[in-house]
Amino acid sequence: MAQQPEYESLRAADIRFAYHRAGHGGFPIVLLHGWPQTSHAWRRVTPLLSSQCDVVIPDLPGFGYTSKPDGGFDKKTISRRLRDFVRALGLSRIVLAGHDLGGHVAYAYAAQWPEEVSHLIFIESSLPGFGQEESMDVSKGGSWHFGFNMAGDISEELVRGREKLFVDHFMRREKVGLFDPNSVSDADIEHYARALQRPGALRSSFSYYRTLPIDRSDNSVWGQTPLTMPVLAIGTEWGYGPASERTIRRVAKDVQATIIERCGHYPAEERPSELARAITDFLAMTPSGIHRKDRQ
Amino acid sequence: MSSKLDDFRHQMLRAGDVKIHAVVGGDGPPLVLLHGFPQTWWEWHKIMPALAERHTVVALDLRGAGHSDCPQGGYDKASLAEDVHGAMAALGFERYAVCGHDIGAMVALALAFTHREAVTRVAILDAPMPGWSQWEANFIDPMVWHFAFHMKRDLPERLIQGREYDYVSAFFFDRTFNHGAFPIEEVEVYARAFAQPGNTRGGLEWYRAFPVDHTNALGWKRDPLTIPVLALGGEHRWGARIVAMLEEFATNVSGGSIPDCGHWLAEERPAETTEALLKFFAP
Repeated sequence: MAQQPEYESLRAADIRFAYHRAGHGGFPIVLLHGWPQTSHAWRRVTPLLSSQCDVVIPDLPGFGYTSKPDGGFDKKTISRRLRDFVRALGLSRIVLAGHDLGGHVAYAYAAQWPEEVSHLIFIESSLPGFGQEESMDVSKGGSWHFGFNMAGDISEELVRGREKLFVDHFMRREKVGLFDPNSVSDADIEHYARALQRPGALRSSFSYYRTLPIDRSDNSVWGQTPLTMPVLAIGTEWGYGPASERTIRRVAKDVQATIIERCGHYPAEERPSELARAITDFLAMTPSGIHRKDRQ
Repeated sequence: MSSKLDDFRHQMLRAGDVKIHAVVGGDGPPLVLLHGFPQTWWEWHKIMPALAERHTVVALDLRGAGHSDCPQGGYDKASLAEDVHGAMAALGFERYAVCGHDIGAMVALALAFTHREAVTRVAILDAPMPGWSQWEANFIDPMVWHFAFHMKRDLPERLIQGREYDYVSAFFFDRTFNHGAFPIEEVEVYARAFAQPGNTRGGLEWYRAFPVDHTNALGWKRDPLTIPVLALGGEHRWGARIVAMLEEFATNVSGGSIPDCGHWLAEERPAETTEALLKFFAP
């Protein structure tokens, strides 16, 4: 099993960030995991990028070993906290990649501080206000979990003690789950389940959903000014397919897109080589404006 | 009131291939009461004695709930309505009035359409109806997050198992105005019933049949009901909106809002609910 480099910790304002860092020089790239995961999701991609990039992989606030704040789970606040962290690392301009809800955070970051994001990589995600609503509406074939996660204390009550069942359901779910159900091991599922068992983890995790209405209203304001940095939208054949590209084209001008085949919603774990190649090809094609900064 | 409730008799009725549990009492023209989620016949217990003074009251457990059978299939509202019709036939009633709440209201409406010859009047208490013009749009209301959850197969049963009280209580506590109606012992009655083998799945199956129910109801409403329809909403849940909703299905609709009431009319406001029902069902 691929392992991340050891965790490091850094305090940025009121949050203690737990993160991994690998590689020297090249593009500073920050990889944001999705829900209900942690930085562990990138374990197979990190070694493939670290020869060309300075790779930073944080646990998002509320996930893994990063602090679980009382509030502020709207993506405007999460992205501000993330920016505090990035600046505390000494990075001023980054390549920002986000999977799933990490893509929501990446967009919020790029929209608020466009000059600080050289490239945006948007993976298997769909933005509130710009297409995500389709995937939330079961009467139109959407998923049940949006309403469930947003419901309130009952969500925590039902999942507590059943975190592994819950994570396993999502990663191997019938609709957009892994193409090869064994591409993620039971030990990996356990890893995510244990992270969700920590006090406050379920509350934080569901709070990313409970703030979606706030995100929708923030996105509708930011979306009026399209992003101008190069954007790569990555979908997967067995995941959301073209949805990532569709949503990001509504808020960005310079978009390239690719679909990874024979892959479910979790390309970093199921097709790490294809994902890493898509990222490095994209960076090589559009290096202009990249701020190369050696690790301090 | 409890002594009057003791006058009712419990029995099992064969309706097609299922057995239906019914609680029967009183004298007069027959009136069948259909409960909702996550409940049983017990939701009517406060108003059954008063209704029984003028009606033969039949409070039954729907397929999938209480002491009725929980087969693998047949949870669309037309099938549930067929169970009710079969149970009433087993009791010897050819024509009868119907009152339904929540899921039971959907069954009541289905029954009125599928057995026009039998149903004399129908009262609909606080629920959205499949076939309603806003039915699908309503799915995105955060208040009904459980529609999508219940429609998900298998996983909800696993998450709810052993936590039936927590689950059931969330519905009562979120949707009640008069919390005096739901002391913990009262919620436990429903939680224990919901925890019976098959009953959790049965209750969820009512939701899994929604797409079929919606398609069926869109067909039925092309030929609206002409019998009197009473539509009552709790002020703090569906309220008077329910009247316009039912006018899409029937030509003779009356009703409105029960004040200071959430979703649970017969339990939160039994006196007002009884009065409205007796007036509407008076021969």
